[in-house]
Amino acid sequence: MGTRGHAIDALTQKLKDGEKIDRVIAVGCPFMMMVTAGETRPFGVKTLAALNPIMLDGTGMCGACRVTVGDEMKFACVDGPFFDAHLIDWDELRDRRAAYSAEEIHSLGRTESVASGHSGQHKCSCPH
Amino acid sequence: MAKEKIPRQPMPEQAPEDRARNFEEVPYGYSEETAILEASRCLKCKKPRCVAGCPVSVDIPGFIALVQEGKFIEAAWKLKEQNALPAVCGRVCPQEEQCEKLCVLGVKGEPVAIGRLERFVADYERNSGNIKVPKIAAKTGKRVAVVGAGPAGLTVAGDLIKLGHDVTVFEALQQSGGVLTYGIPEFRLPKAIVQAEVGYLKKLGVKFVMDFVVGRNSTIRELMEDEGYDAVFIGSGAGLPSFMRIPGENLVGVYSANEYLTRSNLMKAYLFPKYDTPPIKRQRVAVIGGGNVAMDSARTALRLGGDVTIVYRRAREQMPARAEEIHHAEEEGVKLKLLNNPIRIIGDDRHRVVAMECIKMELGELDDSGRRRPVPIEGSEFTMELDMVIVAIGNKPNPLIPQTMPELEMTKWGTIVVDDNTMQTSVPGVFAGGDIVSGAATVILAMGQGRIAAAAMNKYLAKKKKYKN
Repeated sequence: MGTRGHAIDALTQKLKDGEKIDRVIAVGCPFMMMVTAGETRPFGVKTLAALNPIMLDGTGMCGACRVTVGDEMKFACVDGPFFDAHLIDWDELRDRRAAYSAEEIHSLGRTESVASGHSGQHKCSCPH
Repeated sequence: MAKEKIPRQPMPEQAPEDRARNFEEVPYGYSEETAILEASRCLKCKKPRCVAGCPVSVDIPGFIALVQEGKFIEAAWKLKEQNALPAVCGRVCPQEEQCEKLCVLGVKGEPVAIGRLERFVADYERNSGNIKVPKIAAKTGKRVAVVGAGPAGLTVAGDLIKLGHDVTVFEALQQSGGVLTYGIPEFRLPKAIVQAEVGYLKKLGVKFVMDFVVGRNSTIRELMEDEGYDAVFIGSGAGLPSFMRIPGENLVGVYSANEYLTRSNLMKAYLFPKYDTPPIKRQRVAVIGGGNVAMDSARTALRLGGDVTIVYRRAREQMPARAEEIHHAEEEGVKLKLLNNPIRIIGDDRHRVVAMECIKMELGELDDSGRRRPVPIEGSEFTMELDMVIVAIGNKPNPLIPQTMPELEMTKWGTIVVDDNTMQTSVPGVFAGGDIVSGAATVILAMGQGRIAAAAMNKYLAKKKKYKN
């Protein structure tokens, strides 16, 4: 059953096979969503991504979660979380999410187990 | 005549070079002797003009007379008849534009230091541990939901609980106080004081539900129809920071003042790693804006070891911050770059701030606000090398509640439309006040609106039959 590989491989195969897809919704790590957007762009399939930038309160108050979508400043908490994946500035999002990576690793080592996830043995294919 | 010879008593404070490196409160407050001396300056006017200047109509000559007699606890009770948060207001109210502005002594000399006396009295009561709980009316059986535990919401809660209603405050953050907790820094308003004032409301029976976002966890309709609240007060504040809309504002190292101050005040970034909030210690900091929030941001950045410059596009006389705050900031070493407007923030290949380009301004014709409009001087662009930019140019109203309540009438600026006499919105039983109504104003104006709303809600509840599911 299923396809061996990344979720995106299955999607790409369907697109190449000419299967009719009206909309793609990507929810997951930003790298996966960015790759998804890159795969669907040539096919012109409307693609939405759920963004998860750094937030303090999640109610619009801090503005930390601002993202650039089609040259416009948006707040992921109150304007999102779904945005047109083809219009998102993914490089900016990546760097904003990594703003505190040094401190996060420092803090994780003190307070939480680092056995799994991005700070431990790195298994997923994202560049972090 | 003799009375006028006593000069307005100054309040001792930490030396600038000491306080620029700590987060402790800047002024120490009056001693008992100084407070009595200052109180003795009051002329006890038959028609006190000062009271008219107070948005919550505190009986100013009344409490000052009690201070003069040394009856400090009684003075605190007198204050609390009208003001649920005197220790806060004594510190952050712009008295020079309100009560003290109207003081008769101020015509020829210096007005009575009403704010300092208010602060002294509230602190005296709190430190004495002798906190009196006022009489609470018989239970009415009516239930009120207050959205937002900031100055407006806390005032409504305090007034309505005393009238016998059952009051629950819903707060989005993990601590109550609103802007008093996340916005105003420790060195200007110690958080222990805010929590003590909230503790007083809890003592009166107000319930607090934290980490609850009305508009997300529940809508206002759900609170009224499913949870059975008879009336709702919206005091959700001006929680949506404005940006300048110039290139580079999404770079890493650019913060809204809200974010920067919240990280420091509520989330205690300056105590990292004891608190799990990354510290934002950067060397060269620019703060954009000329209001009190810009001063708070600049003074916080200074205490975290930064070399801090305030960049403001208008002139000094046009800065909206209190003169006292500008004075404190400059004394501590914050630099002012006036008549300069940022036009672009410049980043490196990792989207981190390295510089900001500004243009010099000059004052031109009068604008809508009656101030001379700043006009760019052509060819005067220059670049400042920076690690951090804090944008403190104001806030817009928070959209979460209007988004989930389409029947609520709004202005084109995103504030809630209310009847000025009752603070009732277009939806019966739903009232609103504070920055979600006025845009962005002061703590005391929010409290004044809360006071009006509470009185109108009490009338509304008296008429309303209990909601039945």
